[in-house]
Amino acid sequence: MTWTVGGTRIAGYAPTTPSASVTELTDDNLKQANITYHWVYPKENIPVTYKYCVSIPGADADGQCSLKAKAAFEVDGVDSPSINIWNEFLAHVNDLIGCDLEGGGPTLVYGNLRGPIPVCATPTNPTRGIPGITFYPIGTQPGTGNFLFAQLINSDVVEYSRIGATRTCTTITGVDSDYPYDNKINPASTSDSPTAPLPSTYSTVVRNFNATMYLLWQSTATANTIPVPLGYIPWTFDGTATQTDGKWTATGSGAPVESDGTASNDGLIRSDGALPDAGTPNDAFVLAAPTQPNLGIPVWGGRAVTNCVAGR
Amino acid sequence: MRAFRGLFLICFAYACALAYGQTVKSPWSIEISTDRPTVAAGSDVYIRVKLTNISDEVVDCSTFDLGGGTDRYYQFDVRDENGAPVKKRDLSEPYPGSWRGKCDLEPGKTLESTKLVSWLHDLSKPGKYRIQISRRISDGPNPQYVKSNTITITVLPADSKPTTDEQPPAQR
Repeated sequence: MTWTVGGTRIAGYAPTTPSASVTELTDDNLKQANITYHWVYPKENIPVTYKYCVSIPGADADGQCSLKAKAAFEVDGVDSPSINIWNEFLAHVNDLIGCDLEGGGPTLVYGNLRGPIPVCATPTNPTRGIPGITFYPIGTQPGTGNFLFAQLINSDVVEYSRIGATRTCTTITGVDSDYPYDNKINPASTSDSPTAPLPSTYSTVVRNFNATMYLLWQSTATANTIPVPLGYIPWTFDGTATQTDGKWTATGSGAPVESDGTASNDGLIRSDGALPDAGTPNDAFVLAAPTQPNLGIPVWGGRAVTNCVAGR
Repeated sequence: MRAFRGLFLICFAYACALAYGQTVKSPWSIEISTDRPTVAAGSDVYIRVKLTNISDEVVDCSTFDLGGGTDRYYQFDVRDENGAPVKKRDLSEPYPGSWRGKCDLEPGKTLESTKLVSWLHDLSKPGKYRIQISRRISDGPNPQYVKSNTITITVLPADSKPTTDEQPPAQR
């Protein structure tokens, strides 16, 4: 048995929070009577052929094999996919409220939060505010399906310092929290607001955060589908909080990053309150392509977790 | 004047009732489970959490990731086989976090998520661990919490092969 399958195809991709990897379609797979594979990108006229051979004593090599059965497939996908972004520009220091033994207090925030710290939040008194960055999926779906986000942390370092002491918190690369991001299937939007609590015992806190938000789509029109990549947006937040005379002030900013390394202003919520256009693709969006690592599919080996060490 | 004093006492008593002992009806139910009840020591321990809106109103379902390892909207109670609380990461030291923005859960809907219990709690020693989580539902000096069911995770010595080697919970 020999199959040939054109297009960008894989044997499987079943992302979970603990891991996500691409299973390639092997030569061995293509010699089985039944094969399972998934096309990753839309394309017209994708050729698939099949032939089988049997051992016929006395026949030459050609005579032992069937003619090739041929078919061509059209793979449909999300039309004009992208991500629309609304983002804050500046870092803020917000005072969040504690409870019981859980102390609140000043917090370095990309975004603008108010209310209780999350562990003190209740249904009637939630943490609330404006997230630092909000991602809206764009694209016309070919039938029924769901948009999904996955965020990978590229680097994230927080350094607390005072005279004679430091505390450095470093996050290993991996998936940010859950897959799908924020546990949302087909969300209208999803957000992120990196924060760092500001204890009075330190004088400076710096957070340098670098992540990539991927947009995927999974058809629900048939069984056994996989999420396929649509593209991604890299973004960063670099914020510094400084304590002077007992009061914290923040500097720094966050934004999507365009391919030339510059910050995108497309989705900026301006200081005069003017809101960005809804539904407009952000300039920093990179369309998924089979030439990208792992065929443009996000992969990870676990959650991006943080560990902190004290230094001098 | 007497009427005013009476009204004051009634209001005071009501306030006390609210603060002490009055049961607040939870808008959520919480169910936890695991696909890997047995793991080798040193493995990541994940649990699956189902937060269901059992009220007839939209309720908050926000998440706040702390250190990539835990969701600060939940309290985790992890105990060893003797019932003693398991050593926990010291959260009095600062850790960076991320707020995920406003989350609305419609009546009857469930939000499913995965929590990495082993970041916050030391599950490195072989043994049985009982896990229960809770989420705060009221303010005041005696806050109330809605609690999940309790599950047990068995941690085997590091060189053991877990009896269940299923993959961790899929999200879909």
